[in-house]
Amino acid sequence: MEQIDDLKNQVIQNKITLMEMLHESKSGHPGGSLSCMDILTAIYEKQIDFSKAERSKVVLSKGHAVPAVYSILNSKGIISDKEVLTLRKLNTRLQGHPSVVKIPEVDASTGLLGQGISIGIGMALAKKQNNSYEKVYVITGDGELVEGQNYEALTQAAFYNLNNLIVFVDLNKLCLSGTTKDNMDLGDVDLKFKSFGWNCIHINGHNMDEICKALTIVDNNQNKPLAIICDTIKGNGISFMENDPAWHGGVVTDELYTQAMKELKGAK
Amino acid sequence: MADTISLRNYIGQAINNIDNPNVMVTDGDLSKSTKTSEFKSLHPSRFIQCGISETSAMSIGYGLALEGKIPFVVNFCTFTIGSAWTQLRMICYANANVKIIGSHPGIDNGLDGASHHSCEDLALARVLPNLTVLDPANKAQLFECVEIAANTPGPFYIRVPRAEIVDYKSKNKMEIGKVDEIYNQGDDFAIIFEGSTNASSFEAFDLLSKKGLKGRLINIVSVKPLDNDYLIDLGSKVQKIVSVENHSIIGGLFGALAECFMINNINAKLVPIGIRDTFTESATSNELKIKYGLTAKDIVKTII
Repeated sequence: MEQIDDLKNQVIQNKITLMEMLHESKSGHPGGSLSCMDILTAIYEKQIDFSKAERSKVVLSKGHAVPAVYSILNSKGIISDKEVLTLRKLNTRLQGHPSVVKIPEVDASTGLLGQGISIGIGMALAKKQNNSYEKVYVITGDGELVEGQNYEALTQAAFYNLNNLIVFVDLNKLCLSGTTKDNMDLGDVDLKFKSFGWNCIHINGHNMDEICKALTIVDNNQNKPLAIICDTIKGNGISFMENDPAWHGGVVTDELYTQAMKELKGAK
Repeated sequence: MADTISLRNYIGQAINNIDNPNVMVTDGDLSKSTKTSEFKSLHPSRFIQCGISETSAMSIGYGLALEGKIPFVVNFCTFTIGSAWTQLRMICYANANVKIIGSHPGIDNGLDGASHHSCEDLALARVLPNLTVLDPANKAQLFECVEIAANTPGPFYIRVPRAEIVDYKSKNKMEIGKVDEIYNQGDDFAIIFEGSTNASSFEAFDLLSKKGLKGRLINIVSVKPLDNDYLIDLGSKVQKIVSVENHSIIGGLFGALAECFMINNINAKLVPIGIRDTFTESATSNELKIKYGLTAKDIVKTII
């Protein structure tokens, strides 16, 4: 329980850093960064050990949510308090989408949607070749699940029984144009993964108990790749951003920043 | 004249020649055509069959490289550089250690028609930062290119002819950024060719020599980076230069040479032989070379 509370507090701290970054950069993707912050924080806190030479890896297929990862790397001292405010500015290492050349700890350069699961397959296959027990975590958005490459990847991951590959789907049900249902309805996402031969569980992506239980399943997963479908809220934790597709992007003005920080600090 | 061979027959052997347990191969259900089946026979656990899935195969190669493997993503040219270009672009952005081998370049896959021809891959590959583009024109050079790619960090594209080419013996050691100058008999003319056009280029050189002209025959080999020093000297001295490519004259070898000369303020007399901004069609590759102007006679006509 104590660990769960620690994780929840870390999520709030990461969201505070995120808002500081986005306010400073006046650009970026707040909604989708906030919807996967609980998931990412849990993965990085519980599963990723930067001190190990051979460790589990994270592929942020929804690369536009990279400010969430930067805020986590800031909490770990990999990105300094000064540097974290350079997001999207000239000569920064903190590119608008992940660059493994600029920051090796982001594990993969991504940003072109629909490619992350395939990249994760390559990494998972390599880890098996190397007899490593470490895992590969891929975070996809729901909007990007329309991309066809995903379904090549789902077929291949099941064919190779990649039980070291875990895909978290950040099912926030919004894309830039509005709801995914109206824009391009995905139907039953769980059924899609299951029908491709994956293990699949469905959780509340903002409930830290459920996320941590899901990660326990990861450690005991038998012989298939695992999809963890997470119901989430785009803009989670900041009232005026929640469930508003306009906050896919959007500028955090001084006034809105003050309000957001008040809400986040109140939640501490 | 040396024997003619199809270089793609040796792709599997060239990869097998690399003694490194990190070497892996991804296939898209074409290992019998690209001959990576020979790698699969020796190293089944390092051979990743991806099925008919060009984009995912490319990204899987990227993932393998991120974990320290040396993946060779092998497929027809148009299915690697063409079908999976945005995936390749992310590999180049990450400067990942992925090696792409494309077979059946240009009109080499004659009978299958324009959909399966690859007259755009050099243009698409050349424009990507970090990507080294190699174009071997004999068997030893293919082996050298594969070995250099395996032992040099970063992404590589190796374009391997399917059509019969002249298996001449290079006197020069293969190096990134160096041409393979085969003959240098004078500065009346120069033929600069890329791998899969070597047969018509050799023939044209012989025809021109018999007419008393003294020239140079050059295999570009390293399409990117170019051998700028050599080309600047060549462009300043030689009366007439013809570039010969089994590719569109837009963005490929002719484009690369023209850029080199313009950037370096060389007023070279450069003429292109290649596919002229059109989609090709089904026929044998020899029939297509005649129709689309890639024969020795076409090359000779540009000089005299």
